[in-house]
Amino acid sequence: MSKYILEIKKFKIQIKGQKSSIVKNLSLNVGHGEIVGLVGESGAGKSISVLSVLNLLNKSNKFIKEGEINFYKNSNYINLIHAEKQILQKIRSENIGMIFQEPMTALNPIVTCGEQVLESIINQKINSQAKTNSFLLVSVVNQLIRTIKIISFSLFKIPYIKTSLYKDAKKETIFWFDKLKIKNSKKIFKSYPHEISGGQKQRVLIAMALSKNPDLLLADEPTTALDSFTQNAIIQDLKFLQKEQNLSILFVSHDLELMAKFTDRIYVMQNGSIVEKGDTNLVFKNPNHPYTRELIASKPPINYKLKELPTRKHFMGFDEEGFLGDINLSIDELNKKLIYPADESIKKANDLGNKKPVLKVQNVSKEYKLKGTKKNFKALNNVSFNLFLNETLGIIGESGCGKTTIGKLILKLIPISSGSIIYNGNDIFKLKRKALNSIRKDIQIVFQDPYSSLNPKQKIFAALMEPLKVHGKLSRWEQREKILTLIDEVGLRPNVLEKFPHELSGGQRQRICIARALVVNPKIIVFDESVSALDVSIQADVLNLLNKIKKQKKLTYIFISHDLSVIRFMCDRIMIMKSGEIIEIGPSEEIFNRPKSTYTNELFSLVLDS
Amino acid sequence: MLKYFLKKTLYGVLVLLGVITIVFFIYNIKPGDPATLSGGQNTSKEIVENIKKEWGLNQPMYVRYFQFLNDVSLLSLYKTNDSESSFFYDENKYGGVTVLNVLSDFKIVLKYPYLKKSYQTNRYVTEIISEKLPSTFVLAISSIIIATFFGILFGSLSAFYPDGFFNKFAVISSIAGMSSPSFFMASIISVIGGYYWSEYIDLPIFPFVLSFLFILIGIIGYKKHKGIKSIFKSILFMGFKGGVIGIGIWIFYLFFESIFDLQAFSFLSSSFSIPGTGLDPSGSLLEINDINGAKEYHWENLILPSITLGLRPLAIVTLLTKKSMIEVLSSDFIRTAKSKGLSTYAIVARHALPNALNPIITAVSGWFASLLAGAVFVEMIFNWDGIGTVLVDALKNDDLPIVMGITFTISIIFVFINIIVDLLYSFIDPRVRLN
Repeated sequence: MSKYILEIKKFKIQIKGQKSSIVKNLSLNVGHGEIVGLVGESGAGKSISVLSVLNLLNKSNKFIKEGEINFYKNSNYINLIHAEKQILQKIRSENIGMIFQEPMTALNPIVTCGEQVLESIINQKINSQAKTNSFLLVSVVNQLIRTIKIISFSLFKIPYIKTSLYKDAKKETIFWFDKLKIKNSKKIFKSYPHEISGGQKQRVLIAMALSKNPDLLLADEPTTALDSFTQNAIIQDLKFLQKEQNLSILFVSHDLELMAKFTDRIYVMQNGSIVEKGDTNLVFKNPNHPYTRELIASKPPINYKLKELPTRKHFMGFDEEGFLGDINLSIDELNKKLIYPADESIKKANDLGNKKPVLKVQNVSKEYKLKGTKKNFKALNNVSFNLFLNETLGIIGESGCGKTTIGKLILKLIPISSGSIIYNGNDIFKLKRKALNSIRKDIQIVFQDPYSSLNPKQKIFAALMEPLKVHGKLSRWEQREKILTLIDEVGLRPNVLEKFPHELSGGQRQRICIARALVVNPKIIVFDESVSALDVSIQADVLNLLNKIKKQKKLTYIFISHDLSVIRFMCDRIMIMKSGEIIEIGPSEEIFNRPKSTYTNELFSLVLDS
Repeated sequence: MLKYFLKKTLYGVLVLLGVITIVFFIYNIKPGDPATLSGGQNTSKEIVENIKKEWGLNQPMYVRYFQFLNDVSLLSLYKTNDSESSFFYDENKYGGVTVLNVLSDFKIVLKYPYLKKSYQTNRYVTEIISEKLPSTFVLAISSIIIATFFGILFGSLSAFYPDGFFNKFAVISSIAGMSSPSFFMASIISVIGGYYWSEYIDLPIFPFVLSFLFILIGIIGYKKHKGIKSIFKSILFMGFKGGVIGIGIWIFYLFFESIFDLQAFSFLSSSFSIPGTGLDPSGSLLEINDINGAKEYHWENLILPSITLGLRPLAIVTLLTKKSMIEVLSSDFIRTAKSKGLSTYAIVARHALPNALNPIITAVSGWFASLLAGAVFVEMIFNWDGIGTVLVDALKNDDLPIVMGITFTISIIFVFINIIVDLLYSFIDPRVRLN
């Protein structure tokens, strides 16, 4: 028995015709029964590396691969890079399972969930019966027959439906559904992917990967698309199953917190090469490479509040000889320097709360009509709260609790069902169009996805000009001046103005979105999950920037997120919501330290303890 | 489901009403008088008046409109006593069953739509349509089957090998197929398939021999580790290469033979003949034997016109399939299917194709409906006894009942196809709900 089940040696991958490679000299080992993490920010090349283990890259002939990816099977290593198609298919169907990033799109929308898992089981069974024949023609015919069998199993179901093979496979599928704690497994077996929630879809995907009893599981950001509560539940189940089945897992993610909880060893990847590797606990306690340290530090801590998130500049300084460079500052020390005492924060929140509120939300309800039925779905139920000048109010809750609906209502993007939202003494839902326009400019929003919230065919300059043309009475020259100063304020260079959105990175785009919100001099800005699509280090930069701008321009923020650590870092007061109702509202530090309601306790314990 | 079907049928009836109204007014408002046209230039006014009276053209337009609606609808109201009225119930004309007698001299009748008689031939329009429509229907169906089958095949192949020779070939020939007018393609196919290649054709041997030699070289030089696919590929490629080089040498030989004495190379000119198609350049499905006057079905006559008519939809289906397959093949669930270890065929048949099918169904159904009415050129050139020719003749002669009747029939088929397509959508894609 060899030590490692997967050995990647000096793996290189580059696009044909390009000089620089995407992954450079990647060496990585996964032992038997071990969970290995691969961490890095987007664009580091981690997904590409994992996908090329099973040769699953789209347009794989456009890439040049070098090195070895050795998989241990039947007491010898098989190099998967140059493996024949048949062997690769056999390994895919029997030995290596894979979980993908996007459960929403990773399942075929027109086949029932059960059938998709069942297909995998039946495919494996039929293929394992088959014997390889050295004679060419016979093997071709055999392969064709097997294919027809598999297709007729799943597509037409006619000749085989009563056979024991199908029944066994169905039983096995439901067994795996139950094992992954999918409720109503028999109903889910018959449902289509669009009828079940994201978390359930991800569980179906995991069931699909595990149902073939693989030796190795590749997980490519399996929980990134889910909200943090579902995320934690799935990770715990996965860890339990790993121990039970003695699985080896290669876990890819950008989420450091998750890595710390889940993995035994980690590799940190930056720009296509490994910069640090080792035991997870050791790496997190004592990161050697500056990149790792930055990465760990820039994630907002969940247990206390900081004044400012650490970025590169905090690790720079003058050493004893007077040279500017990296000072060997540990993260704990730095955090001690930056910590924001809880009582100070509470006092500030209370002071702000003594002033007059800028925005009053009074008994607001919102109902959506459910399609096909006459029932209404209550997204918000009699919600009232005040927003005070210069504060940051955080709204937390699971997905579907109505936090986004509040944001949309405050901007009057959707009609209200009952209640009123009062700004400057006027109910914004009763104002005439002209009066409303002047208010619209005071309240702005920044959306979650910086990729889809900018018009891809508009240059950045035009995107920023648009709100000015609608609202402002400035001359062309003044408009230009204003955009230039704003671009400077959000930390970008003026040359981005002449670019199209696709030429910019995610962080730059989100900065543009912020600038677009700022351009009309708003008083209130709503951030709807605005940083959850960004990498940690960029997220830290953006969060620091938001705090800086708030101080400069005396703004008021509403910050909607499911990420508790971000909320704790940003907010003065927080509001916890569940199924359209406010569970608790108050100064952030007070609620984080001494939550009153049981639901809040539950919510925090999920994230804090595990 | 049933509710949906009923709702769709109701919509269909409304669509028919709209079509009938528009077509009726267009043909009745336009200048020209069928009665004068029918009577000839030197007929007296009285005769023209009589013809008008017989055809009901002496009535005001709105009366004619309502009469037409009444005739066409399944349930209609008729007078029983006034034989002069345009709403008089003539049992020989309408047939049907009396549902209800209203008052003393009205009754409601359940019957087939009545489409009047042709002005020119004085035959019932229903009779003409039922005689001509089946052969057009057969032609349209066979060409749409050709288009769908080969279109999906070619489209999928070119989506699968987007860098290969096949993709370029498919795209170029699709564009050529789309842009060549149907009468042009019809003449060419008719002449080549039905005339030049009808009996036998001489082909030079040399390119084939060279192609075979190249294939042999390809098999000998084949390396086993490259897999099964590559041997087929190399056979195809080498065969093609040999053939092209062979044809090149042959053409050179023909060229230089006229200048020099090339006795030594005369083997290049040897040829062999292949059997012909045995098809006629034109002909209809149902033909009357000249000798004994019996009606005979000639299914072989279907081949050339259906290929011609199928070319354009084939080109469009190919391009559409290619586009939508490329989109589907790059989606995440195909990657999931690959990671399960499924074979390529299983992935295509189970996951890729059903997801790519929606735009293809839309295109095919639209084309099918338009082939029914728009195959005029092809029918004329192949002398195919279909509805298109009848329609054009009727338009030329202001034969309103035939024009209205054919329009009405085709719109019924159109509505019906649309309902079926909607059902198909929801059958293929569970996200489409019927309500």
